[in-house]
Amino acid sequence: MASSEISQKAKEAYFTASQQQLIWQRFKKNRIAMVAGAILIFLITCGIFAPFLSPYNPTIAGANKDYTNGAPQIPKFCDHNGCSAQPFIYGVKRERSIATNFRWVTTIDTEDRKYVEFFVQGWEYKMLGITFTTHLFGIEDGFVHIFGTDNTGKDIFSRTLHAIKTSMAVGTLGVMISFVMALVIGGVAGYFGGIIDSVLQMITDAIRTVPAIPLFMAVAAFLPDTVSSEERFFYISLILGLIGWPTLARRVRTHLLVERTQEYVLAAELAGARPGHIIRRHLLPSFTSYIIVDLVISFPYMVLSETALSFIGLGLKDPVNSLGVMLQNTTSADVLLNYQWYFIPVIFFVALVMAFVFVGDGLRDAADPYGDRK
Amino acid sequence: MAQFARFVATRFGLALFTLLMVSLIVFSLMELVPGNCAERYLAFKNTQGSGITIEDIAEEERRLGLDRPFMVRWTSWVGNVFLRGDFGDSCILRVNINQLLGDKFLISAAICFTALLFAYLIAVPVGIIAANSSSALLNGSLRFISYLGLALPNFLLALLIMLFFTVYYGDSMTGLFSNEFRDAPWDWAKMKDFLSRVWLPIFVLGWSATAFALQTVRALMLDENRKLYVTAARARGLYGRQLAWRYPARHALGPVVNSLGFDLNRIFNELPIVAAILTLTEAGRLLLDALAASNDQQLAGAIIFLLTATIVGLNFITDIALAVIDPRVRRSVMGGG
Amino acid sequence: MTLLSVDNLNVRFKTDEGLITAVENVSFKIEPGEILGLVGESGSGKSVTAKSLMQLNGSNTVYEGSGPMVLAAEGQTPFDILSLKRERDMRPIRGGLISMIFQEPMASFAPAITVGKQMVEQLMIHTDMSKAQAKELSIEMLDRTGIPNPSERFDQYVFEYSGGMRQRAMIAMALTTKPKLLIADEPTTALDVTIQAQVIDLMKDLVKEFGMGILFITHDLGVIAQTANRVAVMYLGRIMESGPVREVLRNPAHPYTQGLLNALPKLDKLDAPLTPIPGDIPSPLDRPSGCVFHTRCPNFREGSRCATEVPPMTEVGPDHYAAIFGKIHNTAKKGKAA
Repeated sequence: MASSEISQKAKEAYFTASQQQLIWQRFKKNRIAMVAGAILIFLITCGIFAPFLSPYNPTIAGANKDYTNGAPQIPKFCDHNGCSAQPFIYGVKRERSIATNFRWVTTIDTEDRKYVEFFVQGWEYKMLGITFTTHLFGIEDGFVHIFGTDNTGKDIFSRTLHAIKTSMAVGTLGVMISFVMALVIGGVAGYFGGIIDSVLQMITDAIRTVPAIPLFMAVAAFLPDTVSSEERFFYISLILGLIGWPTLARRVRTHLLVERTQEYVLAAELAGARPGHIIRRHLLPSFTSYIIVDLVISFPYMVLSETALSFIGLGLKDPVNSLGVMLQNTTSADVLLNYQWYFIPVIFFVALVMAFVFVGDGLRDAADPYGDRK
Repeated sequence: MAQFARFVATRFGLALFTLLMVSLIVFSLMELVPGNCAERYLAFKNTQGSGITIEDIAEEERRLGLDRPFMVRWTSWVGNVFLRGDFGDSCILRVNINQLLGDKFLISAAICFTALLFAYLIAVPVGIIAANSSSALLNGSLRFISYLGLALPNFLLALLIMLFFTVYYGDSMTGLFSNEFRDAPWDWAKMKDFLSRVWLPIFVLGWSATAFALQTVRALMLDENRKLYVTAARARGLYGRQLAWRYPARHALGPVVNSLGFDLNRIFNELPIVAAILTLTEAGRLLLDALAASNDQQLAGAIIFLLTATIVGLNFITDIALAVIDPRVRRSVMGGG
Repeated sequence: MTLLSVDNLNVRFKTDEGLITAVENVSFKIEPGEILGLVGESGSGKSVTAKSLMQLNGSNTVYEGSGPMVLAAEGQTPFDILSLKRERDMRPIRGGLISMIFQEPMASFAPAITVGKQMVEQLMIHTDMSKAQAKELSIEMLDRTGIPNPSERFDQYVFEYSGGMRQRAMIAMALTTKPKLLIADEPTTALDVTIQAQVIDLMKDLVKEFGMGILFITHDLGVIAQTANRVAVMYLGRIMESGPVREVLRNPAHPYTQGLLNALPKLDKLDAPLTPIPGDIPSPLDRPSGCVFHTRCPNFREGSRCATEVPPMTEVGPDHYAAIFGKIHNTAKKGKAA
């Protein structure tokens, strides 16, 4: 008897579940998407708390001038002098003398242990308007660079974390802008239909034919050099958003056209529901989950475009950190041959984009179980 | 036949109209950019040491016809492009753009089309096999490759390949020609040199195009496989490859042809960046130089317009092809016959 | 000799939620020239049963625990269909010995291949005819099924046919290879009532002429009454009742059959209220124990063995069986009276 009561409750829960709950139920079953979701949350957290997690200021202000193009320093617990509970790295010395033909040579002093400390005081940063100086880890005296440093001595680990933050911010802003435009233009087209729809569709299609990146390059190239890095960041997001809207607008329009003619809308109308009620209780809920899915899916493309543009020097610029900016100088043979740790951020970046793609796909499958299922 | 001609004519008209709209968009964007050709050229000369005045600029604007209203200038630009295929002179370099582009645009287009061709040559059979196979390993690995193709953008792939070649062979494989052939006239040796290097940009460009095409083909095939006519065909005794190629594959062909235009668009998006990394000398690189080095809006506009025109042209051809291969479209276009 | 005998057919699907039973212990026989009606609501497993005869169910289908499914065509040694594992071995059966017509003729023809090509293709697979002969025969069959201008229609696509014509073409195609058994999966459901009657008449005529057996699937008891010789009523993958069509419809012994008949509107008593069967079909994910119908059965009393034991097929009349305990059922008489 008890078990049938439970199954009755389960059934009731199933039939009264909101769409969001149902999507979540189905999403949970998709193991790959769940793993991707966990990675995504981890990376986003890293991005949000980037200043706290980074031992050094990612800009030139935090550069270690005595350790440029430095190899990654991996904290150890044991060496020939025995083990310690606290991880440590070795100190480095740079010198140039007649013995080295007057080139700068970095030597590692394996006798000079430097212990990694946690919750150390370091450079100032602001979160939520409050100034902090505490960082997750660091060493008392000197520097620790677990991903190495670049040609000016900037800590690649700190830069990677801040690059994730930048990518997220650009993506979010770009998606928001294209979302608003898509909602307005797609909404107008889908709601009014007829001639307005046809004309808007024609314009949207014409814009969609133009390759976005060359167009983006053309627009971005003419941003004067005098704009500040914050303004530049905003303009780049704006351009990304402006170029990304046609695809989204098309989806919004299609959703609207489809949902408006659904029989449940007619049923609700026949049952005497007022238009406001139909829009609030039926159209919007059926719609928002699809839109959220679309937004998640278009997110990685924003990030990719930004990276590509920054990479060729038309997107974000130093001192803003983004993966594209970080990879700018990696095509030289010197870097390719000698400093491969420049490529460590690529791993994080690919993980970020893939996590987004998998979560987006999982969400789409969960939101539309009758759509593209095998 | 008359009906088919009319259909082709309408499609052609539509394509022309799209091109006109695109030209308006591109032209307006070029106009929105601060500073016009005259100012830019004179500013450039200024850096070379000759002083300029407001009068000089006005004089130059008159000479270039920049004092005319926007619509007049656009009409004359469009007229020149459409009727004579003439894009005018570059802002900075003062050379005719057609001359400047030369065979560079053709080479880039050829590279892109080759990449597209390879992408579909791989994606169509593999996609069809994957859709009909129940092997979890095959489907899983294909899924992974597809996602990697999406997440590992072409420029990163190009970088990694360069990293590999530099570390193991000491040559980064960049450029379309070896040094000795760069300015040599075309002959057999130069052709061989070209072919030995051009595979890399084609591979890099084709990489994510293949990933996308694979996903498209597989999804379309799965879609068709679910349809009743496939079950009905099985119920008549068809199976295996005969069934797959004659039924679902035959019917998925239309949408696949339709997606060619989008894929070319995607490849064009990657072109400038890949060109920048591999230091190629074709249109993508030229666009980059035009934008980054000299703010040459005339040249940039011409390249964007040409790229878009190529896509519009491809879409026009696929539209016609679709009418020929799909009886549903054919009958609605040509009536009963 | 019995054309087809199905013995204890079990069909299960492997899914993420585990093994789902679609058909359980279904047995029936079809004689040459006989029309067996298979009746049930949607989800009762009738289409799955039909597809099993040609092994057309998806690759996740398990037939474990089934008895032999013997097809004994005239002039051939009888064999067990389920013992054929490869697609190639199934080939002579699919479209050759057994043909199937589907509910939606529009969707069951490939849209971008002419009707004629699809007919010729089937003939090329199953006979030694030349292309020209196959074309001639196809046009003749189109003509026989009452399609005007058959040689012109031969080169047309299915979207150029009208609704009734599509089903006629489907029937024509199914019969070109002179199959011994025809499976008709709701062939009239998608048609207008007037065309429905035409198609049913056509099928009856053709059966007489070709002498084949037909498995006629429908949810419409009216159509069954007109068409079939015998009927089997399915519910949730099990046969509830089977017997000669008049006997079953006049003296329904199973409460489910009674419920189905009571739910029909009666033209002679328009004011009589309809009595639907209470409740919904349970999800195949939680099949009721014992008699699968007991959760909706009006005769069910708490503690009855229906909840735990599967009732056997009991003979309730001449050649008339029902899955009930005991022979005497009061409600049976009531059902008859109504």
